Amino acid sequence: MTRDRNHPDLLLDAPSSFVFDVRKCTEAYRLNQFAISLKDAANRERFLADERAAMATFGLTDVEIDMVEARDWTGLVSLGGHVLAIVKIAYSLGVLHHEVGAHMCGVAYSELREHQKALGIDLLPQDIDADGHD
Amino acid sequence: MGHVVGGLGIAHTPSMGHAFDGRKDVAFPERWQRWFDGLAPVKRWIAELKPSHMVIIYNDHLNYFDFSVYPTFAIGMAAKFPQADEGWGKRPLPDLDGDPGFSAPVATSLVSDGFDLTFCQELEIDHGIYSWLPCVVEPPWPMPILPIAVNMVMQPVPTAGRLHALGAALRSAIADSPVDARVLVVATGGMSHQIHGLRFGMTNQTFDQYFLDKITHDWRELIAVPMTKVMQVAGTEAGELAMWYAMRGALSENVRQAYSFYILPEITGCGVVAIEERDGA
Repeated sequence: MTRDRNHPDLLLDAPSSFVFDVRKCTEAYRLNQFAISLKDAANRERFLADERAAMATFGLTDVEIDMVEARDWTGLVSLGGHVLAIVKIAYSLGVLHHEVGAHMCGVAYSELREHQKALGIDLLPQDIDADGHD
Repeated sequence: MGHVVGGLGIAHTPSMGHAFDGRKDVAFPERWQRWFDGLAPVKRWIAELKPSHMVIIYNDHLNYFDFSVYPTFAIGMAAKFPQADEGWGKRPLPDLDGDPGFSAPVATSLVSDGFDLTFCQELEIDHGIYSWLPCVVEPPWPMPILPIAVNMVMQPVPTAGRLHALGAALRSAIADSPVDARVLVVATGGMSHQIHGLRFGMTNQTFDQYFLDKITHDWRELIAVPMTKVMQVAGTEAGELAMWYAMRGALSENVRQAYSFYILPEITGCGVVAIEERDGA
């Protein structure tokens, strides 16, 4: 059995997947550097004390700052945020990676486990239709 | 003159470390216990193999490196590698030891062989190594490590073929070493998982098992599969599996698969394979 390489379950494009590349890295550089800075406890404290001020120090745009305030994890990743960076914002606020994941899947956190059961894929790479480019 | 005595491929994930520490917020602690039990034979295997050094090919997850300078290949030259704080505080584990007398000639040989590594005198290590290491070697760890960090967070990443060639160059470097080392080469990454997008939480146990079945003797079939297809069926973060080819490339054809084990504890396929050289050393 083969499956078309453009089946939504297999897509490496948004919104199924957000593959991070060097171009996105350049575009969303400040957002990601801010998020990564939160691995240090002192930066986490500064952020929690005054979110907007901490983000302004890193030169984030108003759109990015608003999105952080709205806890719009999916939006931040679609702006070019690296998920491993964005989750550091979430961790600082006591939000789990799985809660970020539920947001991205568009389901309530309590529904995530059921939702994930449907996401299991049992195909091998050779089962993908070879039409088109790899 | 050094020898590669074996290779280990193993998955890493933050949850593995949290479960190991007995944290209460871990989902499915009983499934993690099965993983730890499944690693007991690996622990015995390493103890019997008695490696003097471990060369570990792994990736950082924006816990040490940030995007200001992002190395494609970086090698840790220091005598100490502290644990990185990933944002939830450090785990109660010791620093890792390096052995500069071993590392310097290996690194020099790799550069001569065309691998232009970034040299790190400071390197903090995240769950890429800290999650699985205490499960297979009891701390305080008796052997120094030589960590090689590979970019797996930003495309373009090194190709599967390039990583296999890195392993082959590592084998020559170890053979040419003035240090009489018994080296276990470890690669860690994956297996199936994706931690973002609508496909957050997807896994593929069929693919993971296929990969574990092929890596020891049929790695040529595996490495011929484009990594984009692997990412399609097994999740974007399954791209980390390419690092396992570096471990396989450091081994000869005259090998025996000593052990393999697989389980899906949460949202990352967790597998391990232990491969030993038949002629000992």
